[in-house]
Amino acid sequence: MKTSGESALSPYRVLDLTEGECLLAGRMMGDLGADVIQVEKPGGSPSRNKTPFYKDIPHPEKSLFWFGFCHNKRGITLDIETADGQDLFKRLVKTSHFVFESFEPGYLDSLGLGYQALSAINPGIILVSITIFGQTGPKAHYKGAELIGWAASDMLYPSGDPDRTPSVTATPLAGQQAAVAAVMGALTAHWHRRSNGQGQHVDVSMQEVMEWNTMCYSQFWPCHHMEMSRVGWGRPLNPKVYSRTGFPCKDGYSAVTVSAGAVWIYKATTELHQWMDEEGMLPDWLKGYDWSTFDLSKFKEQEELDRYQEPAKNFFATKTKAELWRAAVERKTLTAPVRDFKDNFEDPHIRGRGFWVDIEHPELDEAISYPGACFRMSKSPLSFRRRAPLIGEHNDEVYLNELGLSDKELSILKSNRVI
Amino acid sequence: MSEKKALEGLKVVDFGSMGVSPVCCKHLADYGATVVYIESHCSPDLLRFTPPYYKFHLDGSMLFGNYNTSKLSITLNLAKPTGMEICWRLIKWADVLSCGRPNEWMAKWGLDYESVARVKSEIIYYITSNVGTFGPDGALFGHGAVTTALMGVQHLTGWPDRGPSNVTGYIGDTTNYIFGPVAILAALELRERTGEGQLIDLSQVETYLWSQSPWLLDYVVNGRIATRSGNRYPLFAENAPYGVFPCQERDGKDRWVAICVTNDEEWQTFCEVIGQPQWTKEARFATVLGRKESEDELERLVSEWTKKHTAEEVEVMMQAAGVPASAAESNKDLMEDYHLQERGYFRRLKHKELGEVPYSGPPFRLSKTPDNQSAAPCMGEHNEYVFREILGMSEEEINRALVEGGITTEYDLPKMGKIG
Repeated sequence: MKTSGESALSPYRVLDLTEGECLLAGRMMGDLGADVIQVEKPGGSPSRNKTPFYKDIPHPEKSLFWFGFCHNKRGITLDIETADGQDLFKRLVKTSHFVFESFEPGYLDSLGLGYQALSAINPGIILVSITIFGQTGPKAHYKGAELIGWAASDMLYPSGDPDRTPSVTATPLAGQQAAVAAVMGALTAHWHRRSNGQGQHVDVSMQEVMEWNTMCYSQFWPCHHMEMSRVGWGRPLNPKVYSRTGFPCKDGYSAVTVSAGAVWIYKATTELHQWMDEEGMLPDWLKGYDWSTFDLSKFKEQEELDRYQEPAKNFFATKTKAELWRAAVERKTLTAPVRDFKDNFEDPHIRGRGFWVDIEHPELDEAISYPGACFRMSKSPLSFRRRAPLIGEHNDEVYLNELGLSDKELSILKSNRVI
Repeated sequence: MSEKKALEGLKVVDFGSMGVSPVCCKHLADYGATVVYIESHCSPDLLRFTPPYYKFHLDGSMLFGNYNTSKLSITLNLAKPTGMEICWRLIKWADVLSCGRPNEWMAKWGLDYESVARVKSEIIYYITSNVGTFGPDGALFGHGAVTTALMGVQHLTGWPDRGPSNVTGYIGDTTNYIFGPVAILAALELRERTGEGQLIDLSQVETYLWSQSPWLLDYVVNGRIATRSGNRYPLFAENAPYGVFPCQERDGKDRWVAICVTNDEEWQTFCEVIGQPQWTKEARFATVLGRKESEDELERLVSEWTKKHTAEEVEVMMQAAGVPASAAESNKDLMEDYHLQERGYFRRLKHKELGEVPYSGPPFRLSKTPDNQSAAPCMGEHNEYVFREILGMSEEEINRALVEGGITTEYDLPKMGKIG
């Protein structure tokens, strides 16, 4: 896709006070063209100490966590717990359009920087708060972490193998999802602001965001009185039966769909079995079987359903990931290899789309390939303007040039560790 | 409270199907956009028949219901001239066209971006698919199970001594629901300034890779490939204990609690809570390095304690003292969760056929312009309203389309098996 033109959010400024995976919200605003200023504590954000590190060297200027979640941002240091820091922050709010934060509810209020205070300075400001359980309710002050986001949302309990402890993906998801939901909330509020100039407070609860990732498992309770538990790699149909959705293949693993219910799904199932037939791996009793009549809801015992899904399992054992993928693209068989990050980095299709972007890191004397735009916009491309900021990299630019502090004022603030 | 809804006046036509495009549009609809979902009895959306459902019927599924609140549903057959004519009138009416159908399907009907932009250059055209519509494998069309595998979720889930496992749902689908509204609202913002519409192409695999940037960089720079590791999180849990622990069973079912000690202060508090203050002085556990080294032993001892309590008891004891913890809530727990009830997350909305049933709330709250969710539509529930009030069609025009079959009815339904 050829893209040209100006960025969607280029007229807007964002102050980013978040930490951890929530940093991604600011990066997304930056990717969309906004001027995002990451506000760090003097000495640098604690998120700079998060793994992984560039060449495994633990150093606040070498965190790949920071690199990955903070590029396209400028960086300043500011201690908002000091009176001077609060004053400077308020001055920045006057010329900003969005503030993102992930502190405990009430923390900004306690500093005199809550929504009421900020909107008194700038009625158009949109304050976006990301927390584990939201701004209100009995658990609002509970502490959070990535795994808490899964546990509290029914994402953990039904995840993993049935005979072991529930387990989740080895890399985080909850924080990033909350960050994207935060941007959705910010832009929804922004659309409204266009009509009347008024900002508002956006409340994002990681628990609620993650509930949206369960594919409506909660509804199985009122609808079927089914408490969903773990089935490993499959899809639960009723308390005794699950449909297998993946099998080992010759050189790894692949997703499979032996199902029906919609025209394109039974066609995919039919096509897969046609392919098996061509290769002499379709049992006689399945020859000519009409998959449009296949009804997953009628199976009351696992063995009954396994009988229909086993032939595909045996077939997969003879095929490579690449062969199953070609069939998915060309024959629409809904067979998809399980990839890892290396596979995806090397995938010709993703490369062909120009997903990877090389970003210069002059301090490291190296250009690093980053995942590029999260989606493609033909007129307002998501752009890559700068690598993640060094500690206080834009202090002079922001405080001297934009806020108009004098050199002397800046040095007083620095020596008092406000900046 | 302001009278106006946040997205009031925004007009969206949703071509479906399944999850990614419909939920994107649902999020816009809940905050006040007018979203018309084009359906067809000739080929009903699979989700209308997918569990969980109150009854196996077009209007009985809560997977469809939860995913399509606040929308207007109309039913057209695009193969009939009157159906296609209505479709084009809607496109001309809309600010945004959203679809999660194959590009070749849209092109077959002359509804691909180029064709639509020729008629209406200011359209925001959002198309989403597993791997994106352009590029060498752009012809691929699949569902959430395909994306989930390509993302590598199964590779990342389960245990190092075993093959892949999986997490709740198809997160290849679900993680994408919130990206579409961001793209669409950004494009609308640009259009307000420049008057230009545009094409948005969203690859459901790429959004995930993008959100995993640090761990992709770990491969690019350090050659390390993230892989499943139970709940040990070698890639981001810097402290211990950090994991999932067994609790007292409930009604014969297993129960678990997540406990996340993230710093030394929480470690001290944790030891107080479980009545083992001496652990903070024992060589094997006193330091974070010691705890990481003896993590198996530590987890075994912690489990001995958690097993004596309910998951809820552990959650409350830990959180009261300031240690991150949460019961691993089941779907039943979630529906009955007192915190979510207090926040009004699940809300009962009146559905035309099902009566009052609970729906999930939106994934964010706005302080001045709260959401305005209404129940999901029955199939074709808004034919009359959309054709008359929005498109201004006459009685005669509507009848002509009905007679020709351009507007579909239950008589057009195909015979099909159930899906699990």
